Amino acid sequence: MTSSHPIELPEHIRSLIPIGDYQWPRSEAEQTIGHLFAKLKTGFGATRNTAAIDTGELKKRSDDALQSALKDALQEVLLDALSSTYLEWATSGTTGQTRRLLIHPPMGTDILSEWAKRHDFPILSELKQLGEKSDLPCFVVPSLEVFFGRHIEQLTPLFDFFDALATYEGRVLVGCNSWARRFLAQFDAMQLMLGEGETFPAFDADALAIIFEKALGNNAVVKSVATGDAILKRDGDDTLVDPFLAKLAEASLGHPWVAVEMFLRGIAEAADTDKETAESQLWVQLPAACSLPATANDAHLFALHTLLIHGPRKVEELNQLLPDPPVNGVWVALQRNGFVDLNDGRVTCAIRSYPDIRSELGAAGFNLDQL
Amino acid sequence: MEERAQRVSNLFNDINGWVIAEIALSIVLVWAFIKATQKLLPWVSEFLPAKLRHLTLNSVPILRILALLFLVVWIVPLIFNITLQNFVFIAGALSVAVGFAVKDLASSVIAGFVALFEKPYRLGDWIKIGKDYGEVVTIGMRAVQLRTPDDNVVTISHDRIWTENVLNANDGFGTLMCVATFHIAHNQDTGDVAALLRTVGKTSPYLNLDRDVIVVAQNTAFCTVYTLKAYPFEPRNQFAFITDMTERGNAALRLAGIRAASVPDDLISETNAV
Repeated sequence: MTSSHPIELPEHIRSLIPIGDYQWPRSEAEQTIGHLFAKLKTGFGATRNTAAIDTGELKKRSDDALQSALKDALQEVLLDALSSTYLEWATSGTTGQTRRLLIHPPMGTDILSEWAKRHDFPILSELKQLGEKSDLPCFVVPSLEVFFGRHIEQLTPLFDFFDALATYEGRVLVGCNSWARRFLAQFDAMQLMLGEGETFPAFDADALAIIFEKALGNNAVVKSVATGDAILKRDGDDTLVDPFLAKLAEASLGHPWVAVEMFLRGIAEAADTDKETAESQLWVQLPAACSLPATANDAHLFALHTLLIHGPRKVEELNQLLPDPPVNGVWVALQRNGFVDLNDGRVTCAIRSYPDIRSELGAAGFNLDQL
Repeated sequence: MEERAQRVSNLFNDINGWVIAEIALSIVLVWAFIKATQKLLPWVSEFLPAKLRHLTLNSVPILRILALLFLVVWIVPLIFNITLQNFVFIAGALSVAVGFAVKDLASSVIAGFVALFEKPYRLGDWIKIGKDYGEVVTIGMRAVQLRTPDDNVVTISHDRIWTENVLNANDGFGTLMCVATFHIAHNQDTGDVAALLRTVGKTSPYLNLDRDVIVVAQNTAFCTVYTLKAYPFEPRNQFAFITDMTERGNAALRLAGIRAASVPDDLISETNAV
């Protein structure tokens, strides 16, 4: 399904950007109001009256090959961005800046570990290993958020790590979830030791189109349910004809891995499509907004906020970090409503619903992540 | 006599059925508009972040005043023949009537109008007038209503702002300071207590991360009083936030081997008053 040539991306998304330069597709207020409006529309059972195809004739499509192709194409782009920002720095001796920080919203994959493995950089899987690696010129800490808890006793290992880092002379690249970073920013040690950091730029419709073109190749045609046009069709000026990808970029807040998950969630095929033509005739629409369960609203919001700060964890670990004794069934209810995924007692944020989670938390007044 | 009757007659326009209907319709429409904004905007504001919520709530009394001004400007020329002479006459008559009959009501209404611009309180603010503390839930023409932490609604006339101080905990902003107090016994090493309590504040799920966490220590004759001051991200969480800081602060102090003081009741009330 994919072509083999490397992906040529626009200049502005080939490397990481400093924190503070992220171009949000919509302001915080617009996100919240847009989410509220989408929820109201879903609540009133509104249907797209301008749909080019009767949505009743579509059936959900789960395509492992397409999923794998899209995720591989995206990973290649993200790894290239990491390399263009960090590779030369990581291999250029000990002069200049010796600590770098990659900040990113929740992702389905551990991109920094993957990058470190490809370039043979040692990975610090436990903070206390720092002593063993003190003679290495460079190492990577992929996910700082897994090493602490928002609890007075669970911060000590992190501060010990910062103390040890102060005497380490090599280079360290630290990855940190943007929500954990928001929480840790109130501690001076974090700011002083790791600085401001960088993040992936916001992907617009053109950037997403390049990834989708690479993943889908020339055989498959994906049409927008709303307009009936192919989402990757371009006019004479090389501009995308259909607005689907622009809307997808906006709905995913510019995070390409969220866009890919939303796309995979929204693809369908005509119910009477036979297998031979299935690959060449896909339809796609933006998935409907998720809503929090009607009861115990605060419990769900605190649970989601705690999950975002700490990343995927066991239910018991997360429950210990909630403000009140956890409400029974809060994670199950969140899973039912599409906000989290539960696997073997481990909770992960449903990446496809990340914009809805962020909007719900923003509407409730929680401190949001900053990019 | 005839001249006076003529003057009074000149004061009013001809009022027929259509004029009465127009006046009635105007009143109904303005009333409906005011009621709609009073119901709809607070409902919408519940879905918005704290900043936008306060902005939306604050527009309710302003819209009401604008609607009432519109009503007056619309109706008065329908009833009265407005000339300078008539204006002075009507204003004088109204002043006398207001001065004698509805002095207190007029004082409250004027104070409400002043409060609209001076903003000692806005919808959504947490205020204290006299002994009453609560969230401002309604600002009417005559009075302001607070919902207290005990879920009682207290109605206080606006004219209290002439004579009493109004304590506003958040002053239109989306957060307010909360204080948890700890009494630590003398004669022990208290070197890390401030840092410990600061971390307690910083690890609270209710904390507003945009604001600093402050710890103040004060020596008294019986003990050292530590006050942990921090802001919740949502003012309505203030009591849960104080409870959370207090419970986790007590646990952290106990774990660190810090002994709490046994303090006389009168000192506790004195400290809380500070």
